[in-house]
Amino acid sequence: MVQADIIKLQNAIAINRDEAAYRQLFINFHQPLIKFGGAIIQSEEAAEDLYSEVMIKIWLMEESLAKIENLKQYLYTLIRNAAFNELKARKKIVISSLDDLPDDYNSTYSVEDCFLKDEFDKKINDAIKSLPPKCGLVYRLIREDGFNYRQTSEILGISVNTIEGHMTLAIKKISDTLRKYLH
Amino acid sequence: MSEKLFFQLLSRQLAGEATSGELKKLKQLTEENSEWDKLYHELNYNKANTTEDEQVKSEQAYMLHMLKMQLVLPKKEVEIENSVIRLPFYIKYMRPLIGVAASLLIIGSTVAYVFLANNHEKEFSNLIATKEGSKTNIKLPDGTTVWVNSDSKIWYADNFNSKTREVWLS
Repeated sequence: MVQADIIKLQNAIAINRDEAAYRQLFINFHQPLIKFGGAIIQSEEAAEDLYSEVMIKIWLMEESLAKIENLKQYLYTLIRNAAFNELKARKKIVISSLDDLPDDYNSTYSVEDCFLKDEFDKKINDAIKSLPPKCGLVYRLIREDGFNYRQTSEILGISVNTIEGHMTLAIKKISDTLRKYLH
Repeated sequence: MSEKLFFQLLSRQLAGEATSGELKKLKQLTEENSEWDKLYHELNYNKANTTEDEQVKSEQAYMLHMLKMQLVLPKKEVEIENSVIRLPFYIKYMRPLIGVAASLLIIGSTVAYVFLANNHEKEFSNLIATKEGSKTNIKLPDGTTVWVNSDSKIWYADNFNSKTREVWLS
């Protein structure tokens, strides 16, 4: 969904309290956001609840919703906050950025294998899955959710340089896996 | 040529962060190295669209979400919302039918009214009409008193029997 469409929905919800628009927004961001939230809290099921809560907040914002500059990024930020809070409650540690997470935490950021076009796509997908969690998170936010370095850095609470480092490492690792199949 | 540079440039290109100078450099590198060229094309894949399966999951999640919203939100908020979600599905889909039924009913009753109106003037031979701004009270054959408000009409028959006492008002 392009930015112009998102703005249309945003205004329809904020000003007209348009439920069809709200439904469209909910469905459009459901899959990417439960995957993103699920990657942080290591459970897509728990991420469903976070997403539902975030979307209730969105409805309750009423007219102030129209003032949000980039709703898509805002939604990712809300999910991140909710996910960090959830982890905080579980582990009793303070988390305010991706750097606060241990490097080896298990990520569940997965793509359903069934919709991959062919065997080769599956190889790429496996390569993405086997990335270190933070690396994979950065890669997906950029390549699949369409954020740039600055936005990704804002969403994850880490510097642009670190984002670029993660992205370059991700590309290198995926390439290393793909190389085996190129010959 | 440094592989590190290739990965750096490819990352920037994939992220949409590369400058035109960097894109030129990347193109040059892929032309020189066929393996890099293949990697470039493979990594520039298009993401698969949402599957039907995922679409269904999202729709289900939305229905659950709406239930949750009704529990969480204050009642007033729910009532402000378009009433469609609070109605069971069968009512939602019967709505157009209800409209049709209503118009049929209106047409039907108009026809009946015209038909009966012509009839009742013969049958109910007594007519009391009030002008605008005046009221009156009348006594029907069985002794009942009726207050007739302004600009109204009441018809009643002479043969008011004890079983049914029919009057027409307009």
